[in-house]
Amino acid sequence: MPDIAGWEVTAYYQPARAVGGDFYDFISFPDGRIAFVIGDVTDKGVPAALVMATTRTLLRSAAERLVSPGAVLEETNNQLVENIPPKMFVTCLYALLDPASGRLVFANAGHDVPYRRTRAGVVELRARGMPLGLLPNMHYEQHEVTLETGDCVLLYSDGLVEAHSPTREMFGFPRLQAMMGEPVDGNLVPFLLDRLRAFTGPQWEQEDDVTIVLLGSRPGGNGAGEPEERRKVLARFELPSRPGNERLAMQQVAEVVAPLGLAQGKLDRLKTAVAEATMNGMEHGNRYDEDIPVLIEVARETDDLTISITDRGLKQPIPEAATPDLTAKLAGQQSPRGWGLFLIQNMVDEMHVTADEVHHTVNLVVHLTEGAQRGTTE
Amino acid sequence: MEPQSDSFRVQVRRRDGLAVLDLFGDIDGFADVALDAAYSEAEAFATPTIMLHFGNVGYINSTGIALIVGLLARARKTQRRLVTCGLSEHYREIFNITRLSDFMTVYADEESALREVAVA
Repeated sequence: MPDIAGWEVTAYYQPARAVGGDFYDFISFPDGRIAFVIGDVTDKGVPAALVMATTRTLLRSAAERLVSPGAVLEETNNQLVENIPPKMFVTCLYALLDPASGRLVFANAGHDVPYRRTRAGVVELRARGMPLGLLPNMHYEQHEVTLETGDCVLLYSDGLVEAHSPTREMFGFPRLQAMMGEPVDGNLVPFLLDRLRAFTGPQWEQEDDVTIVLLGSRPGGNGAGEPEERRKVLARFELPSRPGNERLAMQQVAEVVAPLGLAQGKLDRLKTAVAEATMNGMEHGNRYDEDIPVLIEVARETDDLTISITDRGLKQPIPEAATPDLTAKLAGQQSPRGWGLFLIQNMVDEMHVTADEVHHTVNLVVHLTEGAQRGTTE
Repeated sequence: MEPQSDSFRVQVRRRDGLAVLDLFGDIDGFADVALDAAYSEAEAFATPTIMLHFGNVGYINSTGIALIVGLLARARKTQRRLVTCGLSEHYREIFNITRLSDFMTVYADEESALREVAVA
């Protein structure tokens, strides 16, 4: 395990069979930087172990010559694609930390998205890229964040989120993200493992390898630094399109924005707007198909708080918000329904709708003025 | 899909000249059947005024608003007066925005409603 001043690194690995397909690695560089790698080979057993060992060697070889995580994955992919057995591939997350500044640069080859826990909430660290070994000449997006004191980043494999309870319920991403946000005394990894065991029960027949790597900046350590970007994502999560889940959206957003100290009236209005927009997305955009989630992002930009709610409504347009005619509804001339968009528009300072070929996004904007301070009323 | 309500219940009672629906939990699409049945029960008291008591309601969504509009339309059709009490400040605002409060008096509490109904 690497020993980095001001940082704490924890790893856990539990194979499902004697020889598993998960792997993790740490690569130290002369300038003090260190790469964190986690990967998962399709399949299990000896073939997977051989591919895993090859991938690890290729990654280390590429990292000796290349600096940027995206380039390391590109090079590894091009080497691997020529040698990997048919129908096998490798998902891999490669993150490069500068311990002195807290700057973390990362690229992702189709691996489960890491979570970053900050003081303001838990966010995903997203970067797009195909798994390694499928196609040559792939490009890997590269992103970076600056970790502040007290932040931590969780890398994990799908064996964690795809674990099942005795009633066949899946552990899932929302549960993991919510647990990441819970106050924990000490290290997060034992806490997560306790929760996993409680979820799966003592008779759990582990279906897949479980790998966890946690990188944490110790309070008072070196990993400090203000984020450079003006827009700061406070949380990003998704919910299955299931009737009633708008309440989860409302609660999770309320928890994320709690540190901002919104006045009660403003918070209540925001919660209603989030619930209505989520419900619209689940019902009209995703047609309550539980396999299609709504994506919710909470972001702060200077004095604005923006909640973005995205569904997969294809090209179906979102109608303009009109004032419902209550008199006509009471007379039976119109459906009693049709209040959602009207309510949303009246609950927030701004509402914007954007769309592409596949998605609709409703952006709810709340202006954070001096009235937003905790304890004030409107 | 068949809505199942596990977070809403309603009790019906009579107090003086009022039939009262005590609402508990969340008023959303899941509340439809229970709310409709309770309203029918309240109608059987044959009072000129029916009151929706929201004192124990934590959440009303747009579908819940539509259900209330449906009850209001039903009350007007049978020449009954539908009134409310116990709404939180937030839902009072929503009743104002949607203009529901133009058609149904919003009382702060049950006693205020009783006093005015008795006078009427």
